[in-house]
Amino acid sequence: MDWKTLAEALVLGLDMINRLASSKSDDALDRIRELTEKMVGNSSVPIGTLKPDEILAEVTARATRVAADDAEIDRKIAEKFKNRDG
Amino acid sequence: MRRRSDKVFYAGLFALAFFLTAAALTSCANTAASRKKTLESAKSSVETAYLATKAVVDAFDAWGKQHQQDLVDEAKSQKAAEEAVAEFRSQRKKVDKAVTVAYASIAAAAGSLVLFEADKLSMTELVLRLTETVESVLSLKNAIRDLQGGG
Repeated sequence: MDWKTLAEALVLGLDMINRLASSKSDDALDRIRELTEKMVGNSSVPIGTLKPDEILAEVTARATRVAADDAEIDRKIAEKFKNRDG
Repeated sequence: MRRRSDKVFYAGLFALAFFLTAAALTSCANTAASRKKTLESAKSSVETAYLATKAVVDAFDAWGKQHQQDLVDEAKSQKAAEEAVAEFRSQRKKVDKAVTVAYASIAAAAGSLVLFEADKLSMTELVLRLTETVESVLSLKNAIRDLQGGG
């Protein structure tokens, strides 16, 4: 996909993202993520100094960090009450 | 940390909003020179908006982790702890959605700049796209504020 086609896809995709974001569906978030990943794919076309795939990669990177933090909290819950019960 | 990230965030939004105002005022002067100048300003504004958004999201996530730890510390039973963090994570989904939309909006704004540079997008259309970006980032900020205010 050339960069011009990519840019057009990004612009059109925003409308779809806005519609998904306003939906009540529980899986809207996953669908938004899938859509944005499909839009940029493996593109590394730079926009100034910022690349679209780097911007969108932050969504996944953030989700990974949050999941790790949540797992740590879950472990702390288990440890707190295991020690208390033990 | 929360106030510092607020300042960064609003600085980023101000940069974007300032660009939008300047673009609207100069939209009638659609010369090659003015478009080039507009493009450079817009690129800087989009990048600033991205950095500002990331700063706010990072600060929120740090707060969220500590908030969950506080909930665990306060809980009298394992069940109470699990229910408290589950409720927080359920409420956090609204922020998660807003984060994805905001970043996608910024990425799409960056894409709009490519079209503008290729003369396939008018100044008016570019302004509209960047306005959408500002709206999505503001929605994110409001979602975070709602959760932190109720948490």
